[in-house]
Amino acid sequence: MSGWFWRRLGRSDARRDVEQELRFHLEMRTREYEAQGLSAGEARAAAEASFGDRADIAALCEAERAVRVRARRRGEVWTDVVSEARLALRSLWRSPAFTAAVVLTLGAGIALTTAVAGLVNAYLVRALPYPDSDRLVFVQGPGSPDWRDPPAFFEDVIAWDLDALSIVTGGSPERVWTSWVTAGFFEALGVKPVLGRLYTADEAAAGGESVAVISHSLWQRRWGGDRRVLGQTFSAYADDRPDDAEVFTIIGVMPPDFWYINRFTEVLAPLRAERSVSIARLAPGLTLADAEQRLAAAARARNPERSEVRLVPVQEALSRQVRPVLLALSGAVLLVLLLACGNAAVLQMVRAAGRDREFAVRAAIGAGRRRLVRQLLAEGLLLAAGSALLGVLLAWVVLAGFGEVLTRVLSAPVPGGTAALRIDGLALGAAAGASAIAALLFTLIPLVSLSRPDLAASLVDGSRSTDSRKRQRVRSTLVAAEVALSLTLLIGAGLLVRSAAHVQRQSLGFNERSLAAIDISLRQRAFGEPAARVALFDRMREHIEQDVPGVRIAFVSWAPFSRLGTVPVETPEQPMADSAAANVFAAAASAEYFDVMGIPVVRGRTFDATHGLGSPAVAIVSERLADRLWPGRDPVGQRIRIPASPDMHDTRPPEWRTVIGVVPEVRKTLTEENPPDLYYAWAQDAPYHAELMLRDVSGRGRLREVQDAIWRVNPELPLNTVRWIEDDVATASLPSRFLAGLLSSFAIFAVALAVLALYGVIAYAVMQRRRDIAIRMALGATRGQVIALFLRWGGGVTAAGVLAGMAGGFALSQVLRSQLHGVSATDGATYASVALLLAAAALLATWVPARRAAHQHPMNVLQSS
Amino acid sequence: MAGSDLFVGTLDLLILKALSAGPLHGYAIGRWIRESTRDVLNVQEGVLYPALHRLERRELIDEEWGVTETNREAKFYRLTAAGRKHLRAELERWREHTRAVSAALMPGRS
Repeated sequence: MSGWFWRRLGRSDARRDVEQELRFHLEMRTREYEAQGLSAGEARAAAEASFGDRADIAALCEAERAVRVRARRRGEVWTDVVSEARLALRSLWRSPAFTAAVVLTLGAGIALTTAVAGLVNAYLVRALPYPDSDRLVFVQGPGSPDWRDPPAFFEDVIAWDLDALSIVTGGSPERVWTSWVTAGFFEALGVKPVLGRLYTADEAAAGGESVAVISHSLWQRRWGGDRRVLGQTFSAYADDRPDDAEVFTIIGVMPPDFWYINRFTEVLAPLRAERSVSIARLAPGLTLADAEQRLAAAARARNPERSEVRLVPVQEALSRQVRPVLLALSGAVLLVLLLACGNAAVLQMVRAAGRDREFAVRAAIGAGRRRLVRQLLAEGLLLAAGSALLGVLLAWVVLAGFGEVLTRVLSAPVPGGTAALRIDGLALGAAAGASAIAALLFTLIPLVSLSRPDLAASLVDGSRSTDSRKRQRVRSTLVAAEVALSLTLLIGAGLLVRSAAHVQRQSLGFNERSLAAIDISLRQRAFGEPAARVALFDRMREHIEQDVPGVRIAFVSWAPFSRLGTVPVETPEQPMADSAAANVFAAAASAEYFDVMGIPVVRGRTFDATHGLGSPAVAIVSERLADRLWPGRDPVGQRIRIPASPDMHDTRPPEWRTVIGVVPEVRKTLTEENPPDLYYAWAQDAPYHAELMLRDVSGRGRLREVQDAIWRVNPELPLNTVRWIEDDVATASLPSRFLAGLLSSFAIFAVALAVLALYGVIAYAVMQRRRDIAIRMALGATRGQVIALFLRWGGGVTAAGVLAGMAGGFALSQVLRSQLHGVSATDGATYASVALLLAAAALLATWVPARRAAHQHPMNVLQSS
Repeated sequence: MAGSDLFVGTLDLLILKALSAGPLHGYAIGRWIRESTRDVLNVQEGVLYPALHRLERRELIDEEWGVTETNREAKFYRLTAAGRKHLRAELERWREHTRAVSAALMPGRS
C-alpha cells in the first residue's frame, strides 16, 4: 500500500522532471542550429534527429530516477525524524526550568495514574487466581443446598465452617483460625501445596483421626519450616467441639501466597458435618439469574419456608469493600493528571508566546506551518515520553515499595498476593494514554494561537505584544479550569481530613494508654461448669497480682476493638417483638473493669463481690441505652433482659437483670455505627471467653511475666492473641488517616500547580505589557490602578474557577460519601474555608507579579526599549 | 545503447570529466563532449540523459535547479565527492588501459 504510494509519487515527479530537462535540451539545440542558419522548422527537425528516440530516452531516465527518488524518500523520513528530535531536544535543553517543571509535574501525574491503574487492575479487573474464576459464585441464603447433594449445574462445590483450634502440643498453646472445608475446596481453587499433599474426598469422608493441611505461616512459626513436619501429629481443642482434644496428622503445607477467601485460616481440615454450599462453580453458559431460579425451585421443594437463595460472583463480593475507595482514588488521580496536563499546556503556551519571534524567523526563512507543527509535536512527544518514563519508574517504586502498606490500608488482601500489585498491561496502557493526551495538548494548545498574521506581526513589531485575544481567552480558560480542578480535590481532601480528625478526636470513652489485652478461651471440658471457670479466673488473678506486682487487671468477655457483635435487648415495657427494641454491645465485666479502663460510673454503682454465681442478676448500662430505654426516668432499678448469653455455649435460660449503674458510652470501633453498651456481672455470667485487661504493663517483658503466671495456673491455655489497645486504635484509624493524607497531598500538589499556572500567566502578561504599563504610568496612572488591572483579571479567572470547583467538589463528595465520618458531604464550613484558602493563594499569585509591574520606573522601561 | 564508436563506460567518464570544472546543465555537458571530442564520437545526444540519471543514482553526481546565463530554469549537475574520487580512479584506469591497448596495437610507437 505505502510502497505503491511512494512509487506513484516517485514516478509522477520523475516524469515531470525528465520532461522538462529534455525539452530544455531540444530548445537549446534548436537555437544552436538556427544560429547556424537553419530555418526554425529545419532546426527543430535537426535537433530531434540528433537527439534520438525521445520517448525511449525519457522512459529510461524516468526508470532511473524513480528508483533514486524512492530510495531517498525512505531515507529522508528517518533523517527528518532524527533531525527534528535533535532540534526539539536542543530547544528543550535551552529552557531547563520549563522542561524540568513539565517533566516533574507530568511525571508525578503519570506515576499516580499508573500506580492506581495497577491497584485497580489487581483488585477489580484481573481475574482471581483460581481456574475459571468468573464462574465461581458465593451461594447465600437458607435455600443453599447441602454440599453432599449439589445440583447438576454446580461443577464444583465448596462448603466450609469457620472455627478455631487451640493447639496444645509442641510449644506454648496457641489458638488459630481453622476452616473445616470439603476436599472440593482444593480442586475448585486449583491449590498446589508447597509440601506434601492435600486430602481427597474419600479421606475427608473417612472417620477417625483427621488429616490437616496447615498454612505456610503456621508451618514457619510453629514448626520452623522443617520439612519433616509431614506425618507429624498435633492435638487441639476445636471451639465447636470443645469436649475432647482431637488429633490431627499434618499431610501438607499450603503455598505462602495462596489467597484464602478467609485469609486468616491457618489450618484446613476435612468438613464432615452437614453444611450448605458456600461457593460453587456454575456450569458454563448458565446465567446467574437462571441458576438462582433453579436453586430456589429446588429449595422450595425441600422446604417452602427456607427457599431464599442468592448467588454473588466471588470477585464482586471480595472487591465490594475496596471498590468505592479505589473508585474515589481513581477519580482523584484522574483530576491530578488532568491538572498536570493543563499546567504543562499553560506553561508551554506561555513559552510559545515568548517564541513568536523564533517561529516568525523560521517561517520567514522558509519553514512552512507544517514544519512548525512538526517541531511542536516533536517537543511535545519528547516531553511526554520523558514524563512517561519518569512516571512509570515512580509508579513501579510505589507499588513495589508500598504494596504491603497499601493492602493493609485498604484492609483487603490483593487477590494473588502482593506480587500481583505490579505494573502490567493496563497500568502501562494508562501511562501511555496519559502521556499521549499530554503530548497532544502540548502540540495543539500553542497551535491555537499560532496563525500566520501573528507571525508576520511579531516579526515586524519585534518585542511588542502580539498577544491575541484568542490566545488570552485560551489561557484564561485553562487557568480557570486548573483552579476548578484543584478546588475539587481540595474540597474532597478537606472533607476527608475533617472526617479523619473526627475519627481521631472522638472520645473513646476510656483511657487507651498503656493498656494491653490477652485473649483467653476456655473450651475444654474441664471448664464446662460456670463455677470452674470463675474459680480459674480467680486463681489467675491471684497469681498475676502476686507474681507481677504493680499491674492492675480486670476481665471482660469482649473488649473494645476486638469485635463488634450486637444482641437485641428487651424490657418489660418493650418486649423483643417490638421493632424499636435496641441492639446492644453486651459484655461480662469484672468488678475492677471500669476502674482499670478509666470509665467513670456516672450513676448508681459498679459490680462488687456480692454479685457472685446464683445471686440476683444485675447489669450496668451506658447513658445512651438508658436514654433510649427509659427516657426521663431513673435507669437504676429498671429491669432488662437479653435473649440468651451472647456466648453461644451458654445454655442457661435468659433472666431479668436489674440495672445498678450507668456509665458513659465506649467506642468499640472507630468508623462504624457503634451500638450502646450493656454490661453484666462477670461472676454471675462466667463466660467461656475472656480478655484479660492489663493496665500499666510497660513493654513485652512484663506481658511475658503475666503469660507465665497464667501458664503456672494452667499450662494448656492458648494465649497467642496479646494486643495493645493503643495499637488497635491506631490501626483502626489508619485507613481514614491514609485516605485523608493521600487526597490532601494530591490536593496540595494540585493547588501548587494551579497557583504556578496563574503566576506564570500573570508574570508573562506583565512582561509583555511592560511598555504599555510604563506609558500608562507616565500618563498618570497610579500604582494601585496598575495592580488593580491585573487583580481584576486574576480575580475573574479565580472566581470562575472557584464556582466550577464548588460543583466539582460536590460531585466528588458524593463519591466519597461512604468514607466520611462525622462530617456531612455538603459541609458548608469545609467548602467555604478551602475556597477562601484557594482564592487567597490565587490572589497572592496574581499580586506578586502585578506589584512588580507597578513598581518599575516608567522612564527606565521606555528608554530601554 | 551507445553509438557503435563509443566504448562501454566512456560516456560516463566523459560526463564526469565535463563536470570536473564546475556544475553544468545537460545540454552544456553534451556540447562540451561534442566540442572536446571534435565531434568524432558519433553519439545520439539523448543517450546522455539516462547516463546522467544513472550516475546520479550511483551518487557520483548531484543535481539542483538553477538559472542559466540566458536566464532560463534548468537542471544543473555537479560532481559529488564520491564522483570526484571515482573520476580520478577511472582516469587512472583509462590511462593504463589505453597504454596497454596502444602498446599492443601499435608496438614500437610508445
